[in-house]
Amino acid sequence: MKELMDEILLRVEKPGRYIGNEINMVTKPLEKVAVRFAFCFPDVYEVGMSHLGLQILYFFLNRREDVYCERAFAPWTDMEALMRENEMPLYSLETFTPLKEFDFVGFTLQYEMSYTNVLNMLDLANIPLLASERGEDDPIIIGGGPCTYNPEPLADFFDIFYIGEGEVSYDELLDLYKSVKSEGGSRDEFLKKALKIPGIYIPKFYDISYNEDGTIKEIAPNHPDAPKTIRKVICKNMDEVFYPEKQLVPLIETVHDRVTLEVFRGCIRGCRFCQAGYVYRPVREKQPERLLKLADKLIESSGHEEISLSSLSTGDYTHFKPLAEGLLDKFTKSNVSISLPSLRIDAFSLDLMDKVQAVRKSGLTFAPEAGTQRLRDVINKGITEKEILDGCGLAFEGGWSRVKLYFMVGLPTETEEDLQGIVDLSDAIVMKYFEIPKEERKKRPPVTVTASSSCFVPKPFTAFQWEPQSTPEEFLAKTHYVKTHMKRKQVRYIYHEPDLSSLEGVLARGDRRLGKLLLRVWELGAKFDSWNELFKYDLWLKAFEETGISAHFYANRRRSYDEVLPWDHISIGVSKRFFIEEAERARKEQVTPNCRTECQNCGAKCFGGGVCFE
Amino acid sequence: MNRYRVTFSKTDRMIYIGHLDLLKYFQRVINRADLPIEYSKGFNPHQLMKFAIPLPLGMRGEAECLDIRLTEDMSEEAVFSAFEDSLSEGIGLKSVRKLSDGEDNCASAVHYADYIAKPKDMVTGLEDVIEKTLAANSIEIERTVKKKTKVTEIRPLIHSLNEENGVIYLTLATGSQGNLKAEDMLKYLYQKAEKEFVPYRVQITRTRLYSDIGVPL
Ligand code: SF4
Repeated sequence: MKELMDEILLRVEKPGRYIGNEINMVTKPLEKVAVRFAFCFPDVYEVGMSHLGLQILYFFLNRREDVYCERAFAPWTDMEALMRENEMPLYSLETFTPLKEFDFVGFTLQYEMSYTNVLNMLDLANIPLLASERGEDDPIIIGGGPCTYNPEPLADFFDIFYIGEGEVSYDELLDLYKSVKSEGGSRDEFLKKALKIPGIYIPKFYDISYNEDGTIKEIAPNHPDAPKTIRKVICKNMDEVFYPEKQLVPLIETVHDRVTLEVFRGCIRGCRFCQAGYVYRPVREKQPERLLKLADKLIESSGHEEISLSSLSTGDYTHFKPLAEGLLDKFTKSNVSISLPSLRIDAFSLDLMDKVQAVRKSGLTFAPEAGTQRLRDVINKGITEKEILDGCGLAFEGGWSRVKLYFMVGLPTETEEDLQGIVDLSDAIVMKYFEIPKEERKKRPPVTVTASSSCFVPKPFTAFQWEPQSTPEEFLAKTHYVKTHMKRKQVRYIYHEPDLSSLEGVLARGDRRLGKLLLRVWELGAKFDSWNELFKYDLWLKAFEETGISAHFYANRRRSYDEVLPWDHISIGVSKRFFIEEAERARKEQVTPNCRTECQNCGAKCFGGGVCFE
Repeated sequence: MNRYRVTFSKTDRMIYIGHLDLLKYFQRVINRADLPIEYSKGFNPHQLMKFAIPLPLGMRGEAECLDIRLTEDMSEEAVFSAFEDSLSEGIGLKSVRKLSDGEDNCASAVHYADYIAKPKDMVTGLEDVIEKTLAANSIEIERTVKKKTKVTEIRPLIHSLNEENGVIYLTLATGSQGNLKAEDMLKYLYQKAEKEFVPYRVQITRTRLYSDIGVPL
């Protein structure tokens, strides 16, 4: 294999993607390793290496002497072509070992539009795509990450889905594998025994039956040990859980070139469209003292010059002030910069931004998501027009002149008024700017407001999981309305093409029958669907036609509360009853207070920790 | 002035890392090694370091040079061991030398370099071509500079050429005073030998950098 390297790597763009060897890469004497695990990110290297989950799990698994976790990413098309031409199988970056020789090949499933890359990587590794066709010599294919909360479209291709946070059950799973392997047991024996481990979902031990109208009749375990519902596993106490003191430092530029501090998991807010906000419940925080210590270690061990804070809504951290001030204290004198997440704008946060951003190039960001207060109440986005305008006012006074706004179109109950609201809010911000005295305005760059809209995708485990998604035509009409009504020259409107979101809408709430669709569209050549330049919508349309699968059935149909949903056998702790209540409150335009204001007994208390017990 | 010259090799997987990425890599190595590097003054402070000359992506280097400036006086040994503990496989530390006052930095000092080219495919008649090349008073080649093709006289940039057992040894002008890329030279030789030059079929190593009077940097 190494022989081939020169030949191939000197002919591809960015060969640095394919060689590993980063600062802090783990090396191990292979003779001491009992279980080899290939962690795969189904996207290109620069994207995958910027992902915090990869960094955590990599060092978590590698903390065990008997386990060696290596990495693989989706090769870009130029590399893929040369690999296929030279019959070079997909290999791990650490030791250049073909993936087929591993015990586990694990994929992190971050977004639906990476599914074709999963199939392509398996194929490049010469591993049978279908779980049912794999034999004793093939690795166990395991999937984790947010998409596993409804993994059904991928059920045909995976042996195991791991539902929840990796730190909880991986040790048990690997120990079990080791013992079965040392006793000469088969794959099947291992899989059957794994059924008893919390958070482990093995799709082949469940049978799905369907009604005549195509909806699901029943999801039934076909093995006595297969639990009726698989509940996600999460860490109860974030201060005790493992967090790496090192990070892999890539040799080539990646999307985020910095070390990352994870401040807490979960989100108190409960925005009704947001899957992450629900599936990571409850909020579990880390203590600022531990974070500050970690910050030191991470900077020391990586040599990075930037540190960022990462969490869903970092400004909600109860110890945000001491943490931010602690970091400023530590790093302003050295040459380490701090990158802040988007914060609610008030005097404190503006002052903070002033201190950490020598250059004010990035501008302010708001995510009102919807154009009117009515619709913001429907989606439970707890931000008012007054807050946005006051925040902008403060920022304009403080010298900012650029504002970015994020919206969604196609939200439930949306009318033309809400679309007009996007236009009006953008205008109102411009007007706010003109309240600043003219002499002041002259000294700075002209005001720009960038409003961008994405297409709403209803997701499983949200209050909107029963809602129909807008069709591509409807999305187009909506963005057309906004586009033609944006008149002010200071406002720029950016919108997304609906094709990709529509497919995401199909896959997000899909069931096992979509396996056929994925297989077919991959055969037709689909890959890197989330990359504009490689996305081919017509391949998908063709695959729908050939497999007789209706996109409308999955994306654009209203489901009833009593329909069996493809993900009903999976539990995130938050109950269906709560989601129904939330859906009803949305309909009545009622807001729900966040976890800290008033607990709603959503069900996540069952995990016995976090904000529910504060 | 606390200036040090770090001589290192770049081999194995590291040959696939380009110059700008290597620069970034060394910045991080220096941070990790906790060396008291001096920063430039000004709006966007950066570490004071200078490479002799970029090594093209794909080429191996046996004795590449990097000059750094520290805020305090350290022994050569101390700098050496700080680096040694922080480098990755493929970057090998050869030596650390404290520069004397007034000594040129490596980017100004470098004038020429030795290269070794190992073709994977047999090339016949090279000996002949080399002999003719060295005997000629003038050699012109076409080079692309900033997307324009330009005819350049390269004879004065060739210090020596040699072939032994299929391996080609070249000593070529290297640096800001005059530079002949090993690849351009080889392309010329291959062309004269009527063989196609396929870059990834020839393994090139830069083995040494010299000053104008032929002293290794
Ligand atoms: S149980 Fe209450 S506090 Fe806990 S996550 Fe649910 S709503 Fe929030």
